[in-house]
Amino acid sequence: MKCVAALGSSVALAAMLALAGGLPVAAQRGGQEAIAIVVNRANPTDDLSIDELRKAFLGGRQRWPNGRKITVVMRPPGDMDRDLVLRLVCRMSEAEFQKYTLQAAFTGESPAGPRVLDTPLGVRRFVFNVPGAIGYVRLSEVDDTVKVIHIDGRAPSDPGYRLTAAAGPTGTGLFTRE
Amino acid sequence: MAVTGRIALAIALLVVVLPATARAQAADDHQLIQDLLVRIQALENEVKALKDAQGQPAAPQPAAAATAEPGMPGGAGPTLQIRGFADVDYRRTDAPSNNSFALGQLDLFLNSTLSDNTSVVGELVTEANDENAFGIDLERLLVQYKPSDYFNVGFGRYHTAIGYYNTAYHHGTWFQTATERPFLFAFEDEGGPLPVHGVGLTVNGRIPSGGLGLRYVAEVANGRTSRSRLAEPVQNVIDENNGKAFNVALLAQPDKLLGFQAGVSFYRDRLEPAELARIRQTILSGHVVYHGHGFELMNEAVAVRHVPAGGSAVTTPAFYSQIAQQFAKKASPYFRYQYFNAPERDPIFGDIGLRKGPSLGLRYDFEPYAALKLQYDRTVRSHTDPVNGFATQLAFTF
Repeated sequence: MKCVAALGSSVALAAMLALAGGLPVAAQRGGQEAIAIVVNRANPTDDLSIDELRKAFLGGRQRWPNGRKITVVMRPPGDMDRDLVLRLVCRMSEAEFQKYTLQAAFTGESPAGPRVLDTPLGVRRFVFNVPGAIGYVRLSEVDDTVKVIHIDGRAPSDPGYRLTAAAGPTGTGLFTRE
Repeated sequence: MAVTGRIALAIALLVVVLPATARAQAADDHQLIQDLLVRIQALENEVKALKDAQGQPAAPQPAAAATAEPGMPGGAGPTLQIRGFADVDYRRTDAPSNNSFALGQLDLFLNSTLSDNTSVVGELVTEANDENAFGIDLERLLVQYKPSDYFNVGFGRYHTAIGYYNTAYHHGTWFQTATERPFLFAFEDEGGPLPVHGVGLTVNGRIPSGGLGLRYVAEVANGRTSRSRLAEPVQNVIDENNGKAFNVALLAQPDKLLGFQAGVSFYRDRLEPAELARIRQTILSGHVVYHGHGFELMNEAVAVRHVPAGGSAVTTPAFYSQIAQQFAKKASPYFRYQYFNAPERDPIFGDIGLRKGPSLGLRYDFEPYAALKLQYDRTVRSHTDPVNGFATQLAFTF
């Protein structure tokens, strides 16, 4: 009887140790949260295709359907969310994106590059204040000062949403000069 | 004894169970590290946001600020942005000229947003001439009004939308892979055959075409000086005739072929060289280019047709192809072949004649904004021996 009790307590101890190692894994996997594309609440656009989103970020499309100028706001170079957006949306590395935006300004196609703000709060404030702004924050950083738009018909919480760390292939190294 | 036995049993179980657990977790280690990095970044961001929030009002600015224009903080007026492009070179050829170190162009690119719809771009270029004297040229000054994606208008001096190279690359040599522009797109004041600059009006925009990504360009300009070869080739202030040059171009940039562009253009002007009959000039161009995965492929062909009044047409064909592949995100070997063949009876290009040959080079981006280029050229020309040249260029932006 004592042996059974000892075995039970030992198994419980072992299980606790195993769980202690396993729980963070599960939690962090859940932590690979989606990147939400946010716009001003007055913006009537509810959905963009990934191609339209890419054009907006790269300056190929500079107006919303309501005529407002699109102003892109991004996090600074080195930020993980920025890297993710460059990889999944623009399909470029940081260096490629820098060169691309520089050349777009040089050719006159897109004279003003993206605004760069350091924090999610700054991004939300900018999007709140500028009617044509579009930016990105993590889903957990969204509040009611901004509006989240669907990408290819999917909300950030939907299965198959494309802008998550686990989504899509690695960066393609693409660099386009238009 | 019983307690000791329990402890021993527990230890034994742990010895058995823990390695198994560790093995099971081993596969997740890499993922775990990645996940932890993500989480750390998130926490850092939150800490930063909280710090920011402590120093600022928690709520966003009220709706009164909703019309604030980006680029014009505090109503202080437009902000002028300046970026420099420059290069220094070393050139050696087996032609009868001295090998030389050379200062290339110092290009100050000016850029300012005047309002939501209006912007200005300009370029001031300083470079030395063949007599080692420096001069300053206003190479571009264009006021652009962009009320929509479908209709943008620019007024001033611009880069003519003939082909691809001329608008994609211009005075900033850092952008281009090779040390020199193809001869076809050489600047007018360096003997280039095409009117690569225009002074006038340019309109461009998207064409509703779904994923095909069509764009149009239409330009009306003074055209190129033709009366005297000694005169400034770009008619910046006074046109030598009342006829205007015009150019239209159609471009395709399909959504599903990122980095691909194809296009055609049609340019027409009237030239009035001294002591020659009036000439109607037509320039047709077509291009197919691709940039992606560190790979670069550019192909452009141009036909320049001159029809003198009362004479027969003369056509000069020209093309270039360039291919490059980047390795390790730094080294880009490249190859270019170019061809330009003006018939001797061409009233404008006859003295250029044939000019063709390969170029082989290596571009090395040793810094994000600086590149070293090494290039070998072999140029075959009419009535002269082929010329072999070697060029080194350090190109950078600042």
